Amino acid sequence: MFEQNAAMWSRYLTELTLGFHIIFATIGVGVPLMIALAQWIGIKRNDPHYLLLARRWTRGFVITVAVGVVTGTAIGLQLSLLWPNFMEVAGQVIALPLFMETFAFFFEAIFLGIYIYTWDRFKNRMRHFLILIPVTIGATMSAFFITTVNSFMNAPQGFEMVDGMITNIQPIAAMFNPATPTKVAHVLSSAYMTSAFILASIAAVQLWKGKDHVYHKKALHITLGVAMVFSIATAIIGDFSGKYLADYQPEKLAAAEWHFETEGEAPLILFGTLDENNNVHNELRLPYALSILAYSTPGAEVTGLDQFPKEEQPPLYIHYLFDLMVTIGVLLTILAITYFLIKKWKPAGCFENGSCFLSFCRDRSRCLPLKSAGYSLKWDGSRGSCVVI
Amino acid sequence: MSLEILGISVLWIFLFGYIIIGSIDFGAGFFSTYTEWSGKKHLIHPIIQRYLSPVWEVTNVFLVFFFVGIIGFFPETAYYYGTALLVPGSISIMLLAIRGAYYAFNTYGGKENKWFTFLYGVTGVLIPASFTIVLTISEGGFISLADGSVSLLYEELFTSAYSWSVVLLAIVSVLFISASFLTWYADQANDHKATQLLRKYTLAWSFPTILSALAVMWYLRQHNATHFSNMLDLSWIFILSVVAFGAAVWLFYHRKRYGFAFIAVVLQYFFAFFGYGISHFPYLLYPHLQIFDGFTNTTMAIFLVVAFVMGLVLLIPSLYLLVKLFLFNKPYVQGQR
Amino acid sequence: MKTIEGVTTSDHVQPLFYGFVALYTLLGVGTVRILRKLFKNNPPEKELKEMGLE
Repeated sequence: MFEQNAAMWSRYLTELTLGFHIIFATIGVGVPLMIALAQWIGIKRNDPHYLLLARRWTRGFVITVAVGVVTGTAIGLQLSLLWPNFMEVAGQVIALPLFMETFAFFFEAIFLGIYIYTWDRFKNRMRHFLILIPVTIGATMSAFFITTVNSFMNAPQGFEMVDGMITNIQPIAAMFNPATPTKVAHVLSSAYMTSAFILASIAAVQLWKGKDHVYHKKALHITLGVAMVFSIATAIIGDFSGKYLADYQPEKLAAAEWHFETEGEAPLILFGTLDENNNVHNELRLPYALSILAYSTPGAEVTGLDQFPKEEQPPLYIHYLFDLMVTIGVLLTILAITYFLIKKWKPAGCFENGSCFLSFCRDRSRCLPLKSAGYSLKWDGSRGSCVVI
Repeated sequence: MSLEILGISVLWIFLFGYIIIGSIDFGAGFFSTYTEWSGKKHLIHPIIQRYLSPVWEVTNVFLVFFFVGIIGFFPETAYYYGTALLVPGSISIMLLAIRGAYYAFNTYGGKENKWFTFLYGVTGVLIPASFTIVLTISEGGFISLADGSVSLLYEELFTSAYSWSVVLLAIVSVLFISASFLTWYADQANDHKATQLLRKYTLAWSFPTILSALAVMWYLRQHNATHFSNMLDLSWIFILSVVAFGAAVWLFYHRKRYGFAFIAVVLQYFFAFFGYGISHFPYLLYPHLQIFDGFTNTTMAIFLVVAFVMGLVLLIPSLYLLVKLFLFNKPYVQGQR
Repeated sequence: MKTIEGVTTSDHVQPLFYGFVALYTLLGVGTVRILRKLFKNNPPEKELKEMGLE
């Protein structure tokens, strides 16, 4: 069918652009924070290693930002080109954060331009550092605004539908919808986490290759420090997201967790496969876990997919994406914690700093693409539910 | 002033801003490539690099700002333009992507590749040419609304003399605006050879802008007589534009006050662009969409205006800082920093 | 509002999709190559030496 066809390819194209853009957007949000941290430590301790770290990260960062500008322009235009009817309607309610996102990025772009070309221009190094603050704020704010738009698509509010016409519009209420707190927190904290892990993996690969300069060790140390903080934060926010979904979008939670029948004491299904009759095989069942995830009590009743008509059920493959994302996240959290545990106790057979840690995780280099994949999956997964308004 | 007019004025000002700084960027890319192939690259390439490197991302945001703003204030434009422009818009995205990639890989990555530079230079004229489609179709006659769906009439578009005259005007304007700015910038840098070369380019592209503007008017009279007669009613604005043009050419020819000369060029386009915009009023898309029907709800409009004012409070000092550090900073412009 | 109601009515999306696949592939490959080259040719050890620190 013709209409169907346009919808399918528009969807693929939007997913493609978002999936590609999200990699650069994530780096764009998270890396300025890491650069700021390294430069701050470098100035405070007067340590040239950290200053060089900040400089080298910036050099790579500007390239990813330039590509991110390109893909960001693409997604911005594609929203109107591919979804004109949606933008015509939704624009009435949700144009405000889109508009402000442009301002935030504007702000970021101006100061980034200044920052990268003024490394040696200020006598007072602290001044140069100060220019980075608006970059970091701009990056974070633009992520914030754009995520409120995504939240709105998940939990629309701030308007009324009367006879097919949108009335009584409250742009602020539309922005701060029930999905906003968990979504924004999740996006920001996982962006910081991802960026920290990407930079950590660069340092780790260098050390693993046998370079033992203290520069790389310092790099690994601060990146994994930030990574640990934000991976734990992401896990906690993940729990809140589960509770949010149970309250506002139970069909999405049910689809992601393959929870077919409404029941109390609901178990959490990990991994597994699905046959054509929607029977789950090869899964790992954690008793009560889904009830705890959704409502913090083991006996709570969790709504299953049986409560929703077939055409409103999100596609069930999101379970694979969702589980993959969570698994990668958990492994990364364990990884970061292990590093600090080993550093603290220095068990026998471990040399100084990270060397033993590296033999522990010999596939560090593979962690990088994995993590990016985890992040893209998150997006595809969350967009798995197609109901917009 | 009604919110509709406030909204369209704000957007039009931003579009004008984009036309000026975008033209400088696009034209600079073209000149950079052109001189590479004609063996004069060493003369102007450093000047162009020094100007473009810190500002190109800001230039790009002006564009994003405009189209996000127009969807915000006039959501119905998404329906008409979004549908009609799917293919040309996507081509523009790809051309912009090539440009962005050049900055990412050549400027920041330090990788020199002659073919890539060539491609970059070509996008400098292709992007403005592709953008003109938006203004061209806004005159009506290029969109069909058969059975409730909007579609672009490619045949009419590609065989229309009007549409090609606009393309021509866009390209020569880009080159003229860019050359005039760079002449002034090179003069600031005390780079006499670059100044002379760029001054030559400026003068070469000056009269073609007027000729192609006349061509556009001529064909517009045939294509959309209403708009043309509205323009005649506003002829004083276009006369001011020509006066500014004359002043600019006089200054460039006599090698005087390049700063004022560039401002005169900006004024030339300011008058012409606003004359065009005001005479286009009240249509966003002739004859289907007027600004009063396509406008968003009042609540959203007020919020957008408030957000805009707050945004400007943040942006103007920031832009001032950028300009101060890279445009009006002698040691930087002269390459000592 | 569902996805299907918001979509464009143009039937040219499929070729554009392939065009963008090609574009993003080039951008992605280019980014990785340029980043590798940039940092491989100029390791931090070398830079520290040039700064006169080691």
